[in-house]
Parts: sequence; structure tokens; C-alpha cells
Amino acid sequence: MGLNVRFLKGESEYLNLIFEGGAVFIGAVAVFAHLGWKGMHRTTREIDLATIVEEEAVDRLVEEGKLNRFYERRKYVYYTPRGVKIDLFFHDVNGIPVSEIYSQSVFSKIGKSEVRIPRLEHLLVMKYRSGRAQDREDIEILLRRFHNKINWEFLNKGYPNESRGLRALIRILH
Amino acid sequence: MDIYSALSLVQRVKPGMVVETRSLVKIAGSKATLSRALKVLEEYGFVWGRARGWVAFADALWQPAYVIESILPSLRALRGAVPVRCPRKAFELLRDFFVTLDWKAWELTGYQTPRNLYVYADSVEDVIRRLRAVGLSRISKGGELVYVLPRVGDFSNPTERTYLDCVARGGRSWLDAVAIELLYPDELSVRAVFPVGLVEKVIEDLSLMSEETEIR
Repeated sequence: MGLNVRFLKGESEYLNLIFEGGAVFIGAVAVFAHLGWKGMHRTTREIDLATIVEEEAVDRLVEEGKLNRFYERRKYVYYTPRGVKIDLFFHDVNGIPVSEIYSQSVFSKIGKSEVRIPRLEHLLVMKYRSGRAQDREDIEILLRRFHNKINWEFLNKGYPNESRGLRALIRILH
Repeated sequence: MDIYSALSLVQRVKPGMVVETRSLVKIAGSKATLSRALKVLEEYGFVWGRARGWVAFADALWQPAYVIESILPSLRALRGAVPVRCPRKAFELLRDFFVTLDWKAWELTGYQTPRNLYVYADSVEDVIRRLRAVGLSRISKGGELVYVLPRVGDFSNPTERTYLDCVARGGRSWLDAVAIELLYPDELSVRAVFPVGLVEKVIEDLSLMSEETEIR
């Protein structure tokens, strides 16, 4: 089983607090937030964050005990004190620079906090580029729900290949 | 054109969510050959959608031949699936049908939370009759989906059949397939091929699951 929604939201609020708003929630939290945390089609066990916070500042969070860090499978992995795994992205997510994801991000309310999530178009491009089987369902659900809300001008300009593929998917889905 | 000729043709393109038919025509040599290949693949359930100039293939398309052979019955069954809406509480009433995919995978692995129910039955009417017998009728809105699959292929090993169904379905079911493979290695005679990243994710998730139990 994945993390229950209340726990996931609580951990997201905690991370938003310790990163002082300098992080964008990507992955499952972003998908759930865009969907309004309703009709969720899947669960998750980890939280993915794209952060503009310097790696040294994250080291300090570890030293202060606000995050735990372990060396697993040839890389550092982070955990909240309550044991939720965090995947941190400092530079880019599937080729989209973190600075761009951050500057274009939108706010979503989780509990009492306003957290940053990627704009819909960035989220779709990230998922589309990943090409992972498990991301296909996320894309399908986002396209079914929001096909009328996509800013195609933004996509055509910055991500023309993905834009064409996503348009084709919409035609297939409808 | 047989299925293996059609597969060998389209397997040459890079796996992706959607593929432009223009790139496939180059490989096939002509539009007519491609059209024949796509028709065969569609019949076997390897194509889940087509739009002008584009085609979306099942994830299973890029599996090796020995796996394809084993998942053909699953693909055919999935292609013939009939959705029936019914209240979630009715799922229990259908448990003595052969359950596969989400709920069976969850029963085997405890990994991904299931949503829709997939059952094999001799006919959709069997399932509807069962629901009616306890006073539940098909409802058009709300409720959850039960997918009734035609009984195609071998059901003697429920774990392997669920595994093969997961491989054939693709998407998040591949996570279930990997989890089954990791937890029931001795019950499988066929092993599909998965990306390393996906296998690592399931290994991590399964190890986190055991830790979560300790945390709560």
C-alpha cells in the first residue's frame, strides 16, 4: 500500500516548510494536486521535489536532523524524519531546468500551506519525456481532465515535439 | 502477414507513448505494408489507439518473442474486456470468478492499491446475473468498474496468469508484474523484460513497504 493521503499531505507541508517554499512538488503529489486530490488512480511511497535550494543548504537540513540522508544504490537518498523517501532534483527534471520549473510553477493548497507544483504543461512534458510505462496513465488522466486547459502556445514554443505527441494522444483518447 | 512479421517490423521503432506513422512507413517500405501490419497488431491487442498520422502501442509490444507468445491469450482477453459498473461493495460477490490484474496482484503482493476489478467469466451475463441475484443491477453512473474478460488461455497457475496479464496490460500493471516476479520467482516459468529503472523502483518500494509497517 502507498502512503495515505493525510500522511502524504502532512509530509508535503513539512517539506514545504523546511525548504522555505524553495521547492516544487513534482511526481505523484503534483498529479494529485492538479486533480484536486480527488479520484486518485494510484498511490505513492515517495515525494519528488525539484528544488532551487543549494545542495549545501540541504546538507544543513541533514545536520539539523530535519532530513535523513543515506547512501543507497550508488546515490544519496533522503527521508523525512517520519520515514518518507524524498527524491531531490537540483538541476533538471527530464531536461527541464529546475529554475524554469520553479519560475513557472503554480500554487496549490495542501492543508494550511500553499505549495508550489509545476504548471500543467511542464508536468505533462516531464511525464511524456520519461517514457515510463507507469507515467502513461498519469498522462492519460491529466489529458482527459484538462485537455481544454492546456496552453498550447507555451508547449508549441518550448516543447514542439512533446506538443505534437500530446495532441496526438488527445485525439486518440477522445 | 503473421503476428511475428508485424511485430518485427514495428519493434524497430523506439518505444514511446505515441509513434508517428510516417516513421513506421519508412521502416515498412510502403503504406500498404504498414497498414497490413497495424491491422494484425490491432487484432492481437497491441494497438490501443490510432489517430490521423499517429499510433499508440501497448507497452508489451517491445517484449521479446518468447514473452509475446505467452501473453497473446492475455492480450486477446484484455481486448475483449467488457466494462460493467457496479458498487464497490459488490466486488466481494464476484471473488469466486477468476480475479486477475489489480486486485489479484494486490492480494499477492500488497503493493499497489487496487481500483477496478478484472474477472474472467464465460460471459458478461454470468457476472450480471450474479449481481442481480443479490439485488444489484448494472448502474450507468458512479460505482466502480468491473471488467469482464473472456476466458482465453491457461488458468492452471493463477500467479503466473496474473503476472502475464499484468505484462500484457502494461502501464502501472508492469509495477505489479515486477513485484510478483520478485516475490514469487518459483511460480513463474516465463520472465518478461523490464527497464532497470522500473525494477529498481519496485525493489525500493517493496523495501519501503516493510519499513512503513515498522514506522506506523
